[in-house]
Amino acid sequence: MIYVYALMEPPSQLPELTGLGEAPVERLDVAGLAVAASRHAGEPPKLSDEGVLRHAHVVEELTGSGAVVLPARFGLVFGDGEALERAVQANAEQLRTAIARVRGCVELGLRVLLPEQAGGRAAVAQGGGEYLRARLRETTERDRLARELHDALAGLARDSTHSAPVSGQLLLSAAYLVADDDVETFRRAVRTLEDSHPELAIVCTGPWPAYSFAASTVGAAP
Amino acid sequence: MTGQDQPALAQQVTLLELVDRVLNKGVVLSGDITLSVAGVDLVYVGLRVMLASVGTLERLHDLEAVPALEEAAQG
Repeated sequence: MIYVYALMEPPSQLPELTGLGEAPVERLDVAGLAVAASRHAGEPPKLSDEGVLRHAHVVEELTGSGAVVLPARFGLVFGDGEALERAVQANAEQLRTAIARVRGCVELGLRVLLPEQAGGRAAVAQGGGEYLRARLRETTERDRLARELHDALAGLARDSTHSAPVSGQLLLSAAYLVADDDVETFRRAVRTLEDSHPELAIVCTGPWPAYSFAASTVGAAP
Repeated sequence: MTGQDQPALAQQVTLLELVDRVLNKGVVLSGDITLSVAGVDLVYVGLRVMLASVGTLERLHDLEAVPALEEAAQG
């Protein structure tokens, strides 16, 4: 069985890495792409904290080695080399497009949390009609705020993806594909938003390997 | 939030973001895909619920580590 960590533009050399179950990470050349994978006898690796962190570590190290990397989702396994080759062949064009898109970029994550009491403001308003109107104002305001924050950052990114829940404390969850040279500018823009919205908890994470921009062009992924 | 809370919050969010990426993002190949790791969906759903329902900063702080992924997968 072959467990896949990432697909890459063929790098000159793969760093020496230990994968799931202490198996060495190998480079397999398929359809003009390099696949970082490990071989396992019998059952596929079980889902565990350790496995998730190991997978993340391998992808991180590959990215750190300077290769252009499309991270695989945890649990991408194939029965044998032929099955792997068929799957990569069938998606080769989309994979190459995705590689071109993430080249020279990192992914930055953003989560924005509202202050604790904000969620309950509508609930304390009096009466049914008033409740609905307050609720509507709040929803519109949430939407406006999320959009303002996202728009300020999306312009600095090559690509972005975001979701803005209509209720709850999480106002905005987003990922931005940012060129290496623009990371500092991006972080400054986040600090500017923090300064202008001291009531919000704005957490910028990364740089990450481009997990959020690897899958969208590749067929499946419901 | 105070300056003291921020690093702890950032740390927790980073861990959640990491797990969310590894389990939920990244390349999935159509066709011969064998997502044979039982419980991925379950863990994914569990995490989403957790993230979506982060009702208070305190609760976020309570997430000392990603809780028992394996248990969730088996449960």
